[in-house]
Amino acid sequence: MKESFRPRVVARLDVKGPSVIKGIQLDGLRVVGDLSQMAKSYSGSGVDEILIMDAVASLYRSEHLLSAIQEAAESAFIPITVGGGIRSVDDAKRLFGIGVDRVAINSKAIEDPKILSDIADVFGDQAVVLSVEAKSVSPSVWNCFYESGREDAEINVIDWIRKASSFGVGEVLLTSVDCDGVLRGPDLNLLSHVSEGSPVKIVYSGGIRDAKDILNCFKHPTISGVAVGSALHYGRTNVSDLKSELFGNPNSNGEASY
Amino acid sequence: MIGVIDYKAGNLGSVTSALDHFGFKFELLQKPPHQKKFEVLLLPGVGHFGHAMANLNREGFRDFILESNADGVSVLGICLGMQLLFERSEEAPGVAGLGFFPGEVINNAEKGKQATRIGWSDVQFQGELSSLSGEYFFAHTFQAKPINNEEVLGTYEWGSTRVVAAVARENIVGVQFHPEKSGLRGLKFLEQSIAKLSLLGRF
Repeated sequence: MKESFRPRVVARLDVKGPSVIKGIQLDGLRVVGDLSQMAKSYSGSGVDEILIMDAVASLYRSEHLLSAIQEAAESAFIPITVGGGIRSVDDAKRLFGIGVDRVAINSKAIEDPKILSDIADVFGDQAVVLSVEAKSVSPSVWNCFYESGREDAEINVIDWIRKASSFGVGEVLLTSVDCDGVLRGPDLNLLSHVSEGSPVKIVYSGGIRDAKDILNCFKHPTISGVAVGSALHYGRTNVSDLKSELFGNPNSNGEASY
Repeated sequence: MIGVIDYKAGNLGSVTSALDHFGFKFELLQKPPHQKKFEVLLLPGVGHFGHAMANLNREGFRDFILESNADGVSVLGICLGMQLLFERSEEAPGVAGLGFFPGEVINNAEKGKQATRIGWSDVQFQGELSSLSGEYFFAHTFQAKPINNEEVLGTYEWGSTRVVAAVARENIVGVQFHPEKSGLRGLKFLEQSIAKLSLLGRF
């Protein structure tokens, strides 16, 4: 018998300032739209969640970006997760204060995993996401990276997930750096390697093209969701079609427009 | 007029945004007001049962909520706010909740599985609200166990069990999910439940 919620479809928006950008393997900057407009459009589309990742990790100092996020949060009425440059409980508090539901943390957690429990103790572990950037360093070996996939933390992905989970994490966001933005499907080897050993549910991100790619990810019971970026931003697919194929219902959270 | 209790347990932005969306008049309360003029008190919340009750007690909200309800004011609790309507929670041993619903709040934990549940689940409502049955968004580590079965308003399926998703008695309602994060259906739920609670004074 199924003891889990149905897996989620998450719209991933990588941002620089108030603009949504799209890179290849977390690098490169091509502007694809305005954050608040795109967030509003996705939230009306029936998507299950919006993920906003600050590619230049400036969340702690960009007022412009913060107000765009606030606007998105106030009109979305679906969960919003934000990551990129969150380095303290105060950074997280500020984001929760503007309507963000969950914070995704990578670099600071690698430096000091106590940041995870510090935030979880106050806001609950469901508010904390461990952001993991996985890059292959040799066949079937993935390390954790940071600085948008450029710096090698020299720790094995599954070892890190197991260690960090004990600090109070609601979910892992696993981004395949190799597959990000390339639109050639997910890294299924990475998924096989990681999903059995993770004590916590995982949202996968990187390379998703269509419902078939998503279904392949959903085969792993530890996967609680899949994030889609380029395929949505470039119109290769849309939320309604994805949800129809995946769940038989284009918009399970009600009608599309309100 | 809706009184939204701000007891530093999470962000109120989406809740107040939703109230604005429907044109409900509301006031954010950091302290109990001198004059009581509300039809509904809304208790939102995310975080820790113990810290939340400590904040409510310290600000005088505990008495305010209990006395207001005794005077006929309706109460709507969301997520942690719903859990506070119960007698106690495993999350904070020894701490008394508001006690509107007989029963306790327990950890979701199952052997070897993650206790925290994040995601969308199908809620089946009883009675008049059954047309609002469908998916809602949950993010919870604890769940309510009401003693009185007739106070269960809605449940969701988890394995071979049903988990309490909503409770109601007279003019007090609690929901474990986040209606302000559950898309259009969530907004409709908020609109209808608040309308019923303010106009009819009962559920």
